[in-house]
Amino acid sequence: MQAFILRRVLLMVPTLFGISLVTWLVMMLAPGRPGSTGGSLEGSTEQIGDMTKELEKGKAQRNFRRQYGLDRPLFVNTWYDLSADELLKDIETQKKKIADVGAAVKRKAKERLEDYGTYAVPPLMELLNRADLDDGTRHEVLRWLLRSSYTPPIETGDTADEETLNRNREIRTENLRLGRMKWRLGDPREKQDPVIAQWNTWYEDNRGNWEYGAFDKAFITITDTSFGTYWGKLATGDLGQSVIHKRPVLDLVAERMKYSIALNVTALLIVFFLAIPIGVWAAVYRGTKIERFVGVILFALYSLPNFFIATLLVKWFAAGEPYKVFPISGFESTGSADLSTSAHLSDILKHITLPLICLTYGGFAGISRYARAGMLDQIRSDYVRTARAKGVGGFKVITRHVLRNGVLPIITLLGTSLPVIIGGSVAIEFIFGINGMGLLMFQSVMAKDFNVIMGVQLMVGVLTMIGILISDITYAILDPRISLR
Amino acid sequence: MNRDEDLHDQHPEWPDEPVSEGVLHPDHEPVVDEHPEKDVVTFADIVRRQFMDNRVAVFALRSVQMLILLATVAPLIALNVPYVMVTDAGLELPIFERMFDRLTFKGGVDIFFNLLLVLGPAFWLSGRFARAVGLSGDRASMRGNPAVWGGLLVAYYAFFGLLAWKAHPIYLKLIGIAAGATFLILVGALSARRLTPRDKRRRANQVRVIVALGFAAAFTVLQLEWKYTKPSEVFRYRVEKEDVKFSLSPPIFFHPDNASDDNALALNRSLKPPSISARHLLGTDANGRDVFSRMLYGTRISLTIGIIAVSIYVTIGIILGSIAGYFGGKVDLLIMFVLQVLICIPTLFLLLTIIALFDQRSIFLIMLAIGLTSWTGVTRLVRGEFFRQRSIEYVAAAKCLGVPERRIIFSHILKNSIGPVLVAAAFGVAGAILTESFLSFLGLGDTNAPSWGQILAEGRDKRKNWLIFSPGIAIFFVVTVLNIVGEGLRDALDPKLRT
Repeated sequence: MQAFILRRVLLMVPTLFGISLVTWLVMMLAPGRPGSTGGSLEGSTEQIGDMTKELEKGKAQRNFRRQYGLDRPLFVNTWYDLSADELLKDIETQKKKIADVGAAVKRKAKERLEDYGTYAVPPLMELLNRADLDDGTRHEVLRWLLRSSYTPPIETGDTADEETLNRNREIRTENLRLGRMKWRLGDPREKQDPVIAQWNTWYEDNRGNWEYGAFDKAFITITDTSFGTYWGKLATGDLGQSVIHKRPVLDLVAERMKYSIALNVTALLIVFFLAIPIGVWAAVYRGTKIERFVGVILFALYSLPNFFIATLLVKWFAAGEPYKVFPISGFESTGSADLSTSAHLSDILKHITLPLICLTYGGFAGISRYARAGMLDQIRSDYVRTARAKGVGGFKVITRHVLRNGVLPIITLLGTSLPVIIGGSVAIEFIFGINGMGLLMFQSVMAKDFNVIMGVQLMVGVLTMIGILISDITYAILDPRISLR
Repeated sequence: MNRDEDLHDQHPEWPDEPVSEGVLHPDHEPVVDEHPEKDVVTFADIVRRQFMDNRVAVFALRSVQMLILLATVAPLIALNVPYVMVTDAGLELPIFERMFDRLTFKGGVDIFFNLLLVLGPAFWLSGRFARAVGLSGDRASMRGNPAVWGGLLVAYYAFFGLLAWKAHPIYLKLIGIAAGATFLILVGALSARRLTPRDKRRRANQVRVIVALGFAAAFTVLQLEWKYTKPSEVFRYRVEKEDVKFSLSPPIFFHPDNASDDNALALNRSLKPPSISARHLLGTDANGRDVFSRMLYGTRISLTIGIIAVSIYVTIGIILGSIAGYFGGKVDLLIMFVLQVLICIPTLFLLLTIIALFDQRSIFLIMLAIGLTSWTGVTRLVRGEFFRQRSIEYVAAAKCLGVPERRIIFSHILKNSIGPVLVAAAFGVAGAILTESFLSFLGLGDTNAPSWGQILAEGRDKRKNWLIFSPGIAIFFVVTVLNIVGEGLRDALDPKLRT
């Protein structure tokens, strides 16, 4: 038994790796560049035309690209050796008209330049000092230099200590200073030269930042890539910042998780405690009229979409058309945490009654049908007939003999139904406005807050994995045959 | 159960050789010359008969067929364009003029169903006529009156000609494609001398391929002609006010995407409750669009997404599952590992993540996303079946005979394990339809296509009964009916329940 559990737990490690790999692949395989600039907010009607949201989105995307290293090469990074000519070609391409080079080529060149970031500074400096460039190109080089030399402030969210604030202040001053080192397009050479000289002194001062030793180069080659960044951040438990909520994703998910877990675990318990007796009853009284009727009802419940029922229940029992028995949304009333425990509990109960109904009836119908089938399988078997022949009473045969064997396989369903129930809670949390992971996911998808999306997906994957593990181990404890296999 | 069927039971693949003539099968009509193909009872025949005995399942199947038919003929039921119109300028056929018009029908799904509506009868009538003149010309296989079916076919082509002349030149090209298919079907039907049942099945498959190719060709032609647009006209106005001498319009005279009357929004006439006198059978939505019409066209979206998404993941599942199950070993380990990982990520979350990565969400993206995220179940199923079948003697026999592995996998084992996959597919279509309507309920579907989930979302916003119940009940009905079909199929495939 211990060996089985140990094996099963050890198996979690590669699975965990697999889950994060899938998350990474989803980002990588997406066409275009996830989180690239451009694109519209189509589909989320309420947000169209909202400029602040649009800006936030751009920020979210940049943030996301940096967080997951999407602005870096896939596996091997040799950008410390960027050649000036290569860069010049890109700069010229992205300046040309679409009609001359084609939109895709132009966009690619621009995106490459954006991605290089600070790696582009040495070649850009070289270009800036070249005498054979025409004015337009040199100005363009300056523009990219301004962009590449920009240091993004450290993401702090709401919590920031004095030190980082000071550091950010310094970064901002430096950015401002660099931002002024420019000339306007069309200015004569005499105006350009002092600016170029300024840049040269700045570059000389900070030369150390772009001088790489052999070790540095090897380190960058491997770690400063998409792959390296992603796993590096995961290994340190850093899932990045949410742009909308301005908080670390991990905190956010952990906070929302408790609502989801409370809701889903309660639902799962209700499902099993109701479904199994019904299934047993249906198997014992199979073929009777009332059993058939209940069977039809269960079948109908099984196919009833829960977002439809939830909408109806809200309308009927919460929105006051015609009744107003339950609160319309939320997990608890604001400030109810200060109430006494029992009052608090009853408040929560009132809030989650309707969500629980919607969350349970589908699984309840499905699992009771499984329970019935499992019982029927056993009722027909020989050992039951033997027991009956020996004179064991009808009730005792069912409870002592059939039930144990018939219902046991249902426990495996606990594992497989977990992802379904968690998925279903997206609908319920959305409709009842419960601040769980499902709602968080939905809001992040709408606002394109990619850090949160990836974080939630990872966390839900891990949670489900743990759920499946628990159900497997429970099954193994209840049915020793499993661990012998 | 007689011995013969017993054998088929264990070896569904068993034989196609005819049982000697005159043998009486129990629970079967006596074998008569007229139906020589009934001589052979294949596994599929048994399953079909079992299924047909289940009245509820048959009803559900018929309902699904009705829904597909409804989706196909939707423009004839609800559109703001008359079928026929006689004006001073002469005869017009506006609906057929607009059948493949980008302004009237925006999506590829609509174009596909319209094509089905226009070309479907041509193919169907060709098939019936081919059967009526008798396959291979022998009288025994004649079904139906050749004169009737031939007449209908001719009438249909005459109508096609009228369309080409009056409505739009594109029908000329469609006539070409349809006539080509008819010709091929007839030549095929009349060519062979004597058809064994196996030949017939092969012939039927060939006909299916011809029809599919015909559709593909027509769809390509339409894609090339796609640019054609006609300025929109307000037919309601013309029919009511202008000097239209005669007109015949669809009973529901409303377009799914356009406000039912042009001033609906301005005059605050949206959100009308259902009324028969106003011809809004299910009321209107917040944009003044007719809900019945939207529901009808929503059927097209739902069915297409359900069927295509499931075909995608069933294909993936069959390929991966059969490879894992047949070869076992390291390949199996790898595939099972991927499966184990994917099971841990709830499908809906993965789906939401994929959808979040796209700015433009077409229904094809939704189909693809559902198809690519839901293949785990089918893979497991097929793998299990392959494991089971691999050790049965017929596989060993095939190996001894030197049958290539590809053929053992795909035409021997796969054929025997396809039953459970079909069951899973029937449930899967229901699931995919549910997923799609949920996504559009959240506002994450294709915003340009009329979808049931979208209507329900509006109902939730506006708290209007007709906006909640019509899509809710429609989704419930489709899902239930498909689940019943799946259940019936499962029972029909179960040898324990065989009567």
